[in-house]
This record gives sequence, structure tokens and C-alpha cells, in this order.
Amino acid sequence: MNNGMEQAAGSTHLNDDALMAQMVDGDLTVLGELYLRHSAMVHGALGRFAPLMPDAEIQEMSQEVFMLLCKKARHYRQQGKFRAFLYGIAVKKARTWQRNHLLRHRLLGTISKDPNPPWQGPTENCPSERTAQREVVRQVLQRLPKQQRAVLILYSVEGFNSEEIGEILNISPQGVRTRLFRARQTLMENIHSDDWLQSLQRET
Amino acid sequence: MTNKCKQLQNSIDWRYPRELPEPLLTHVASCSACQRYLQKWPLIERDVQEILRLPELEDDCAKQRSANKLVQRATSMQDHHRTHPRLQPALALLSIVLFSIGAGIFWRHTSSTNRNTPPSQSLSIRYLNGQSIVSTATLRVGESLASPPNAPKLLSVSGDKVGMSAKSALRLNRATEKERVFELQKGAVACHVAHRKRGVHFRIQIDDILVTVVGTRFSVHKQKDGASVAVNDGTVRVGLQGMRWSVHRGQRLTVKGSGRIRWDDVSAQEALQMKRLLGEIMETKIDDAPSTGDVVAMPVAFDEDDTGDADTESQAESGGIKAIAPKGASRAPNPAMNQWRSWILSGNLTQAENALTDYLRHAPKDRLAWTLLADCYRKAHKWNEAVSAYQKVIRLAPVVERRRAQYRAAAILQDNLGDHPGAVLLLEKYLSSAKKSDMLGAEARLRLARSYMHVGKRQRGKDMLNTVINNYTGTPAAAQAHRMLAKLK
Repeated sequence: MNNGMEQAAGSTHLNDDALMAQMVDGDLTVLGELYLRHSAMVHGALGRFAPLMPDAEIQEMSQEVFMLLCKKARHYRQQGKFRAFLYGIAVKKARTWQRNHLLRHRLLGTISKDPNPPWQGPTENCPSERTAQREVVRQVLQRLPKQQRAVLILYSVEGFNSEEIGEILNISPQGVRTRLFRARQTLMENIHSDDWLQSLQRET
Repeated sequence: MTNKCKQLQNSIDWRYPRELPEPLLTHVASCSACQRYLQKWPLIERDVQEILRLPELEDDCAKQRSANKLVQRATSMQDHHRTHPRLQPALALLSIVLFSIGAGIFWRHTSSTNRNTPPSQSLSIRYLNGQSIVSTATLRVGESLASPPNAPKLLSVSGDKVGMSAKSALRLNRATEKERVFELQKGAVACHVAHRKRGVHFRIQIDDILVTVVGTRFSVHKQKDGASVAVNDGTVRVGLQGMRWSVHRGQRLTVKGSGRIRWDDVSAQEALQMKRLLGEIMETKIDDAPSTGDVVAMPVAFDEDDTGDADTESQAESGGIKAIAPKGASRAPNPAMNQWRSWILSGNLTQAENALTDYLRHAPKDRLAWTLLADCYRKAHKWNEAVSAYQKVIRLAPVVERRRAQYRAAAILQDNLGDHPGAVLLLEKYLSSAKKSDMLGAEARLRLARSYMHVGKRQRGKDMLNTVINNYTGTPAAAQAHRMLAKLK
């Protein structure tokens, strides 16, 4: 194993595409390097697309995502879109987990109001009025259609472009732009209070 | 706040705020409503980012540990797949298909076997006297029928007629829809079996020998160590220890338990005997049927000192035609003869010669074969061989065939070999048994006269020519005789 990690340490100068090529050739030690580089992004994807997933499970699931990456490495076409490729795997995993989780609890009749609502975000060092305003944004965000919300997250938070988002969500780039425009419009129209804007300006 | 100017709002698209078109920027610079709107979105986006921001789950050490664990997992998985390779989907599909086919065949076979083999069955049989029914009885599987020591027995079994010779015993071994098997325990039987559908069999078993019939008239005779099967009509398959022979109309096969076989022809007498047993000829008393040993089929006994051995007994394959080796002069024409004759007529002389030579090695007394061989040699211009073959025919054949052979041999001796003394001998013999109506008589006399001249018997020659002129007046032979006499003068 140590030898493997040494080899992985030697591959730090390689880009993601080169590491994937090595993995296809049977060198699995590069998986460690890929994990070090992209585990945070995978954690984010799992946490944002499966908000009900506990932290411990996110860590376990991220391992599963990388194992799946190892299996699907042959399908990667080396077009410089490794992040999108990996994120797509993570999103699918997260959605599957979320669906199964909801189905399981629906069948068992154990669905209750979650004590920790998703996307709470850190509230420390935040003025109370800002917390209230942020709650408005959170509620609007949660009311957004699923596809629009996914596009908004991938564009505004993760920083993917429309082509990458299209690959992750398996839709066309034009479809990504349309959904993004509608998501923004919904947010802008719902959050129109001058007080909210003034408080934001004061904060900035 | 109500944004009265909708220009920015309507123009804003997915590129905002990363890229904004130049005309829109110019407008925004002079429009306060649009400026407020433009300020609003970055703030909202920041809030969205804040809301969706997740805490770091792992520090660097934890990340390293997880990475190591991940590599270990992947390696062990790879090793596992190396040692336990996964079945490829196509292979798995193929296996499923093959298994399904196999299971289907197995099910069909077992179900049909179960369906067609009830544990025990019986047959309704009728005892006949000619065409009339004398009595009926039920024969169960395992039960036997025996004929009296001095009289044959005729039965009808569901449309099939079975004639048992005197002192015979027949046991029903199996009776299903698809198969009816009798075992001939002793004696002989003649059967007239109705034509059956494919897969429906009538069988007679003699020890290990199994006679399978499709639809035919045949007889089976049990011998000391084997059986003899003679076929009057149709085809019968005889099987023994994996070997199988087809016996056709007019043929008889004698099979020994050791696997030795002998082919023979069914004589007219045997055929008549078979018909008698089956009640098809009633004018002859059935009581006269010979006792066991040479009953119905009159089987040919194997001679231990037979020089032919296995070759003599087995069928000789000659040019793809099955030759049946008879013992002694053949009583019925060999079915292959027609083929050989057609070869000779069509000029296939080498093939015919080989086949006949091969056949005559096993059946040296077959006069028809010798005749064909002699004709074959004659056509091939093998004069000496032809004369030898005709000599064989002269020794073996009855009058008519013998005379033809004498004439042919004499003609060859005279025309092709220049052997006039030999020709004189043969022609004299030929003419000694000639009738007045013999159309070749004139030609033979002309030939004889010519040979007499050659051997120096001129007066005899002249006398013979005068005989032709007087006896065959007005024929071409007489005219030729006139010409020959004129030459002599």
C-alpha cells in the first residue's frame, strides 16, 4: 500500500485526464490522488443534492462514488471535463439515495418534520435581521422546481458552465440556460423588499 | 420596490453577471431602476451560496486516510475480479438459452416417454382361419403365444397379421402407442404389417437382434445362434449391438449373435411359404409346413469352413451399390444387376467390371453376373477375358443362356482371335441344340461354314452353305451363302 501511495504521490503533477488514463491501464493507486483533489466537491454534491443525508453517510457515499468512478473509468472520454464527469456520478448517487430514503420512510410511516432543515448554512457571525432575510431566500430556493434549483446550484455555487451542467444533468446546454434564467427570475421576483435590499447594502 | 424599467430584467440571461452586453451596460448607467436591480442579484447569489455552503467534513489527515482506504478497497476489488472473473453478459445469455433448450428437450422427451409408456398394456388379438375370425383373446405384456407342434397359427393384431409356423413361441414384450415389440422365442413367424407413421414401430426381437418394420411382409426365423429375416415386400431394419442393416424386398439377411451376417435372395418357394403362413394362399394345406429348422424362410446355414469368412457374409460394397452374395446359383435377380447392366449400356465399363469382379469373388456361381461380365469384356474389347467369362456361363447356365454364350464366344474366336477350331467346336455345340425357329441358326451356319473353310474342311463348308441356301431361302443369310459359294467356285 505504501508503494501505491508513493506512486500516487509521484502522480501529483499529472492532470485529471492523465490520472484517469493511468487508472484505465490498471493503476488504481491514482484513485487516492483523485480523492484528495475532488473529495470536497463530491461531499458538496452529495450534501446539496441529498440534503437529508447525514455527514457520516456522505463520507461513506463519497467512497462509493470513487469506486464507481473506478468502474466507469473506461467510459471517460478525456475531454477535460473530469469534474463534470465525477460530479455527474455523485449527483446520480445522491438522487438515488434521496429517493430511496424518502421511499423507505414513506413505507415505514416515519416521515416527520426534519429538525435540521436542509441548506441551513452557517449562521454564526450573522446579524439577526440578515438571518431572517436569508430564511426568505432559503424558502424561495426550496420552492424552486427541482431542475431549476439543480441548475442554479451547479452554476452559482459550483461554478460549472452550461455545457458541463448539461452533461451532469443529462440535458442540452440551451436547456441549462433556460432553466437558469427562470430560476433567477423567480428569485428576483420573490425577493423584492426594499428593506431586504437596504439591509444587504448596509451589510456590504 | 417595484422595478418599473424591465429592460435589464428582460435582457438578463444566463451570462449575467459574468458577461453583460455593451448596449445594456450603457442603459444601466443612466437607469436607476436598472441599477438597483443590477445590485440585487449579486446579493441574492451570495445568499444562495451561503445557504448552500456546507461545512468541511474532512481535514487533510482524514482525507489522506480515506484516500488510502479507497485505494485499498479498489485494489482488493480488482484482485477479486481477477480470481473470480465475472460472467460476461453475452456468455450468460448464451448459457441461459442453451440451458432453456436443453431443459425443453429433456422435458419433451421425458413427458413423451411418460405419455407413451404406460406401465402395462395389453393387446387384443384375433385368431384367424384364412380371412375369418375364429376367436379373440387378450395378450398382456409378458405373456406368450405358442403354436401347436404340427400346425401353424394365424393371428391378427390391430390390423397386423402374424403367422406362426408350427412349434413357434412368441411373447409380447412391449405394447405402447408408439411401439409394439414381440420376442420370437422359438420357431418362425411371417408378418404382414400395415404401413405405419414415422416413429411408430412394429418390432420383433430375437435375443439381441431387433427387427424393425415400417410396413411390409416379412418372415423371421429363429436359429441356434441368431435369426434369419426374409422380406417379401417393403423394407425391414435389422439391428444388433449398434449395427444396423436394411433388408429390402426379395432379400434375406441371416444374422448371427456374434455379428456375422449373410445376405441371400428370397426364393419363390420361400415367398409362397410366407404367403401360406399369412393365410393368403389357402389351397395348400398349412399342416404341411416344414418343422423348425428350415421352415418359412429356409435360412442359409453358416458353413464354418466357408472360405469367404466375414467378407463373404457381409454385404459387398461395389461402386456404391449393395451386392448380395447368394449361395450357389441365384434364384432371384440381384437388385444391383440392373445398375451394372445400365453401366455397361452407358459405357461405364471399368466401373461395371470392377463391381462385377468384386461381386463374383464372393459369388462365383452367379451365371447372370458372369454373363454381364462377359458382355462387359466384349464391349471393352478384352477378347480373351470375354471368352473365358462366356465359358463360365456355358458351364453354369441352363440351355437358353448357354447357347447365347456359345454363339457369342464363337463369334469372338472367329472374328477377333482367329481361333477357328475353337469356333467350330462351339458352333457345332450351338447348332446341335438349335430349333428350327432359331433366328440365329442361319448366321451360325454361315459362321461355321467360314470356319470349316479356314480349318481346311472345304466340302463341309460347302455343304453348310447349301443348307443355308435351302433352309433360309430369300433371307440375307441365303444371299450371303450364294456369294460365298460363288467365290469358292
